[in-house]
Amino acid sequence: MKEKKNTQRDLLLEIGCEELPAGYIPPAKDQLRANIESGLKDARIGFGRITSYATPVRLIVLAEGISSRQESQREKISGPSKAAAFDKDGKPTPACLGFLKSKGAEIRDIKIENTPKGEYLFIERAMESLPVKKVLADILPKAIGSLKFPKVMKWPEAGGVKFARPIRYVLALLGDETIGFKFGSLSSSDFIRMPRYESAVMGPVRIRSVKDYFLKLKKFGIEPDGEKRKDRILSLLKASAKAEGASGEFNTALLDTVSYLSESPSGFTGKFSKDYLDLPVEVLESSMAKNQKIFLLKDAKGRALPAFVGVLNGKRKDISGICSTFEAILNAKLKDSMFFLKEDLKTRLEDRIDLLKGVVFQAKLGTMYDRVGRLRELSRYIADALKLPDDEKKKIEMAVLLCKTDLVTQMVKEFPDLQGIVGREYAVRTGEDRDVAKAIYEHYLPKGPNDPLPAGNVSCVLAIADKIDAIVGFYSIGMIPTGSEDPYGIRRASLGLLKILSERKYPVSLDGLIDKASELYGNTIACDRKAVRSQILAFQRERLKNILLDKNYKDDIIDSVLSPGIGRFDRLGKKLDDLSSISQAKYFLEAAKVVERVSNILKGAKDFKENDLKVRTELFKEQLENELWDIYGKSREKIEEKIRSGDYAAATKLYAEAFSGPIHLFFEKVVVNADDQALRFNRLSLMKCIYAVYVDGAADLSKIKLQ
Amino acid sequence: MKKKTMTFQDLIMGLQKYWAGKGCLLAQPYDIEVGAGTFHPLTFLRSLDKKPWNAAFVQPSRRPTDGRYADNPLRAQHYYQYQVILKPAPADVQALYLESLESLGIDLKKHDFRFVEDDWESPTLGASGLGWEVWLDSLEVTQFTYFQQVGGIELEVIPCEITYGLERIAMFIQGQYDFYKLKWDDTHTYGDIHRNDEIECSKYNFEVSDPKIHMELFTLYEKEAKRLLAEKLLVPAYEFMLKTSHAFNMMDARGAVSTTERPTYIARVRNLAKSCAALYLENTDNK
Repeated sequence: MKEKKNTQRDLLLEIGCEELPAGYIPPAKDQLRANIESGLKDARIGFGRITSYATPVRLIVLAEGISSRQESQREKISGPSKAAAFDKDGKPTPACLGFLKSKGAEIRDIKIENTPKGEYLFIERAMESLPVKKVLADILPKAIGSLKFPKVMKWPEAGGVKFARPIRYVLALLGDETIGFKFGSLSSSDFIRMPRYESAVMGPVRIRSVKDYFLKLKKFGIEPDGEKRKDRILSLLKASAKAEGASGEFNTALLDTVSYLSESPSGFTGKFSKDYLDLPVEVLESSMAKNQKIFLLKDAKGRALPAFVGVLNGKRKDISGICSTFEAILNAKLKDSMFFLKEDLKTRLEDRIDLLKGVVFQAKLGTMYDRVGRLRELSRYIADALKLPDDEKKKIEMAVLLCKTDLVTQMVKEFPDLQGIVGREYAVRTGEDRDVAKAIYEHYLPKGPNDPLPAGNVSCVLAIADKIDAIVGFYSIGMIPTGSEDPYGIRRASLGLLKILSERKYPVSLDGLIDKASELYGNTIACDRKAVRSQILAFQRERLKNILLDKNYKDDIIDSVLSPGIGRFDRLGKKLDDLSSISQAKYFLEAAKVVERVSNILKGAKDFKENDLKVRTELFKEQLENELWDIYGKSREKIEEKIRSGDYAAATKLYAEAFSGPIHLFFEKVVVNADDQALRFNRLSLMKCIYAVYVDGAADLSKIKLQ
Repeated sequence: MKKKTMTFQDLIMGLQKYWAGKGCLLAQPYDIEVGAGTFHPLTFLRSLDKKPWNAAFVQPSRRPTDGRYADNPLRAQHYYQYQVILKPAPADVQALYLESLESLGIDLKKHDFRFVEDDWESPTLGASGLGWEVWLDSLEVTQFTYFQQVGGIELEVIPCEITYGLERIAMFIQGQYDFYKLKWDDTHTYGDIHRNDEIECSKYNFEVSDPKIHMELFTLYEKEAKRLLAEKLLVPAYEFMLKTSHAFNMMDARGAVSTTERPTYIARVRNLAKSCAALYLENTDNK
């Protein structure tokens, strides 16, 4: 066929893989599009719309309106300096000739320009404008090779490249021409493979053009667009739900997965025995999703119906055989779960507490039974700090006792992910209080960054106790999260703990919680408890800062508040709010200036020990010392009173009014770092008093970025 | 004439014939308790080097914690795997596998089959790979893995391991979703052959076995394996590694291994497996 010059053509790429993990596909699809788009831009190739699609075995990109050649562009290449390029007779040196040779240029191409470094040689010329096919042969393999997957593998024909699963062919077309290139040891070609429902072994199909490609997809019923497949599945689900009188609520996580498990989804409704409806909905749904990737149908109240929807790859004339197998497998699996349920309900959760002696929490940290004992004390400590009413305290006591008992049920042994959910269900079925039952589940929350927090005091208190106990325990035996590794879930627990504390603004401090938890471990752990505490606090402070940044507090305000210690969370919230609201006020900036100056002089005095805090008035030599000490004496009580009552705005104002003028005058007239050591230390002590009266209880305003 | 039902033994013969036809050496089961065909030295050790290797065999597999006193239609502490190991993995290995199902009379056009992602890992063997579970109408019938690492060693030539769950496939073919009712031959059921063993062994594994004895055995086996490794006697050392693994599984069935001690035991077996792998390569290189 004659090549049409200057005509735009469409580019099509299909990477044919063995079945990719469903979760890998949507991000890979987006990356592939982005990689090709930037490849085209960098290569100065014009293009129109770029779209990407994907199925379990295909990653597809269509780039429309590709121009036929690279856009022309001039390039400027710098060479050696003029002095190095020409000898004293004005003849080109070997350096100059070498440069020209390497760039394929002639002496007449040379220009000399004055640069800040002196006179230098330049070549300026039009860049080569290559035909687009040649450039694409370079862009496409790079675009494929830079795809990122959570896990990659080698396979024998890969020729050194890695991918999520083996790539078996690559179709690359520009209009009706194949773009020839190699990826690893695989050559691009002009065929694709049929869907498995059409040909199990995926026989090859020749593709003649981009247009022909989409006709072939249509012919085989392949829906390349994941979103459309999802819509199709959703309408299948809705149709089945309607026929069965079910609601339109489905397992959405499973829906996302299933749309990338089929190239052409079709569905069917299956039934299971009503006997299994006694299983908790979550158990039914988990078993179905995990073992068969099928959807449970539920009524408007979220109760299970004895029906499910299965999604198939491709349409089948007769699905009765398929359906009966799905049903048989489901019934066998549910029979197992039902056996667990019946066995489990023979023993009340309360009577399982002793069994926790046989479950190890961590080899060095004792059993789950020991853990529950500590959680009880920790919860009491927190409930007391919160001054909770007696009825809530009673519920907490009960929730603590029951919260881990589902670990010794057969159901949780079968579905470990359902810990907490099974406990809650069993508690409800045996008539436990609602808040208690809820807390058995919610004390594990939040499990992920987007999870809801526990609601209500009973759940929150238990959740805090659970997390701090784990954090202190694992830190004490040196099992600390490093890098991205978090095998014991300690980073996750920290994040959850801080989110709950900063959201609920409870009057407890991390220091207090850590010390209490550490004390409760008693002789179980042998470690430098102080060092462990500061390690934990440093780690927590980092996480907390991120959480607060997410809440839109300013970076420097956060630093100033966290710097003297995180303190109680009710106060922390108030400090952040108060200081943020006055951060533009004149007195705030004045107070910050005072703290900054005092803090600087203290930082400079390396030999000054902080315990030499006592100011001895008899050592005062200057009138200004006496005056400053007087001011301190008069304002101290008032400032501390405002800090105690949590009015940080007022405390800041008082502080600024008291010290802003005097401190600058003092620094102007009095030399703090006097030659006489005793005199110097006394003056530093005075500075330390002024520093501490505000900073210790409020915030270290030296961290504030003053404009 | 009505087509004769494919029995359990027909199924094994069918797979033997198919894979022999594809150039596989038909090996025999290993005679030491193992949890899976991967533990067979013809899989584990032969995966390590760069030489081509294609073999297929039945491997009786023991998973003491999976015992259900013959009450569960899908789970048992003793079952059969059919293992195929192909090195290097052929480019059309998925098609080869699917054709093997068709050779057993399964009409794939009439069924829904899927390759469902499964990142396989055997922490005791220091082995891992990427691949799938194969589902036939939602019944998991095969584990399909491209080994990437074995005995802690990154492989240069990638093998593909295909592990058929023989009972599962027989269930599917016979339309009989209970292990024990499967036809073994025309006159015996699977239950006739294995029901009593299953009940007795479940009772032994869960109630009667002495975890202390297995703990002592673990230690003795480990010690012996280490001694043999020092003597550079590969296969004997490897066999004692297999025995530690089974002793661990027996302790586990009694609930004598806490969740937190578990990784330590597994690491001890893995260290032996790694040493065996290293010794195998050392021996191969020296030949």
